[in-house]
Amino acid sequence: MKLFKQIVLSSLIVWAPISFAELAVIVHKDNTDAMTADYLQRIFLGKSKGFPTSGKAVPLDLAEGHPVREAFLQNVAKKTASQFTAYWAKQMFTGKGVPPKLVSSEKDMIDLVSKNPSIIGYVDVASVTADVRVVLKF
Amino acid sequence: MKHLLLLAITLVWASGIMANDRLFISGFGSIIGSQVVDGSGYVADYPNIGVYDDQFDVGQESKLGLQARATISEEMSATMQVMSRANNEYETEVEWLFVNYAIDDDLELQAGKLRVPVYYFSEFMDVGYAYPWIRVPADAYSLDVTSFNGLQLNHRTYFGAINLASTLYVGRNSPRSPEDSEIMSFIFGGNVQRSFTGMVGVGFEISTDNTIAKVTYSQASMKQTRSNSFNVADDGTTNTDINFIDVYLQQNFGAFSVMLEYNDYDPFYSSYFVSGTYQMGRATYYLMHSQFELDAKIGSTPIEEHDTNSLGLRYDFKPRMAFKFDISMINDTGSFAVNKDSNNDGDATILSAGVDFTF
Repeated sequence: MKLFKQIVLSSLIVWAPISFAELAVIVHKDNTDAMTADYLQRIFLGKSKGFPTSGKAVPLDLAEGHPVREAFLQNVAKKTASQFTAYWAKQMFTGKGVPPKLVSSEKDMIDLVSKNPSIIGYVDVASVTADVRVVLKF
Repeated sequence: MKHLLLLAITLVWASGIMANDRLFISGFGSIIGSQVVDGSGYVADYPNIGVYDDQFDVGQESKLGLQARATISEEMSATMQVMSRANNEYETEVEWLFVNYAIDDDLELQAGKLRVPVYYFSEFMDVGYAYPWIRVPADAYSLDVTSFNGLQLNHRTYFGAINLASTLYVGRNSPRSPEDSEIMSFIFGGNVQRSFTGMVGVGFEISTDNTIAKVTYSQASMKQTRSNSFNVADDGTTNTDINFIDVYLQQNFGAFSVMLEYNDYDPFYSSYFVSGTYQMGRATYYLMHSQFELDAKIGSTPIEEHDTNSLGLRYDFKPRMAFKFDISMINDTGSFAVNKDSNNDGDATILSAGVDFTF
């Protein structure tokens, strides 16, 4: 009965983009590549395996339920969190790749990006530090 | 070859346990319960014979899949996927077993046991979480060969925001997997064995954020052996050249999506489905219509012909878990009903509910 109520209630909420503070896509300071929204989307959907010029790209994603993540997925992957999970279930179980690894906090994200030139991640603009380079803002 | 791959996987697994970041384990599953509320029976899953009757049953389409992917080197990985299906007494079967070699960033070669990539949903029709319906449209997903042993080349490229994925595969199915012919035995009676050799196929998929268009073409030589048929004249071995064409289109309009798929299996049948979905919050509502028509006719009526109308709901109640509900009405218009009921018309109404998950 509770499930039924949830379904009815959720149906009344009109599908709309989540409002959010500005997002910063971040890479290692030695990475000088430029990045477009299309290219970024391809990296997070596993359709591009590398940066335009600087080699292998390893995307990192924030943990499920993180508010910054919901905004990122909707604006970059153009998918809701469950659509993103469904997309990656399709890719993964047909042998086309594995989803981006999850990190639990923006602090960890910045830490990992600052240590590895292959990693690309994202945080709220307000969380950016001097240890990483912002390659794109949303 | 298969044993060699098994050995390779085992070795990789063993080393993976020592270095865990080389090993990626994931899985998926569905628990689905259904009941025919009007009519005598319904074939919900043709390739694996998921058939319901008037008793509530969770033992037809429920399944669990486990996958291990091991990174061997930067270019190479090995993947094994095992599945247990309720309608196969939960016996564990290897569904996928392959090595993946990245020739460059855009081109990869897969070798081993793979799914035949003919329909849009062929390769992930068991992963309920990846699509809105409780099941892929049964009338349009009836091909009896689902796996092959061979090679597959996958290429990806893009032009601005347009992605193009191309696939080429060659191989044969295993003549020792009689379950590939179970559906034919179910429909025709007696025992039907089918083996497919010289399988060759191509696929092209164009996609943008809101549009997907995919075309596949496959051909093979099919050897069929029938025995113990109801009509003795049907017994014997036949060789047939077959080809299969499939077209899939999807267009998203905000919260609305429309999906359309048509296929022609020469010289046997054609089938299609059309579906519309509407997403509202965590709920996705769907309507679907699917149809199957055998080329062989008696007079002007196909020997086997049926269509299904479905109405259903997907509700993403937890991350990685979706609840689904479906009501489907099958209308059997063929000369011989697939499921005979008291008035012999094969029509049925079926209620289904289930949970799909991935981890």
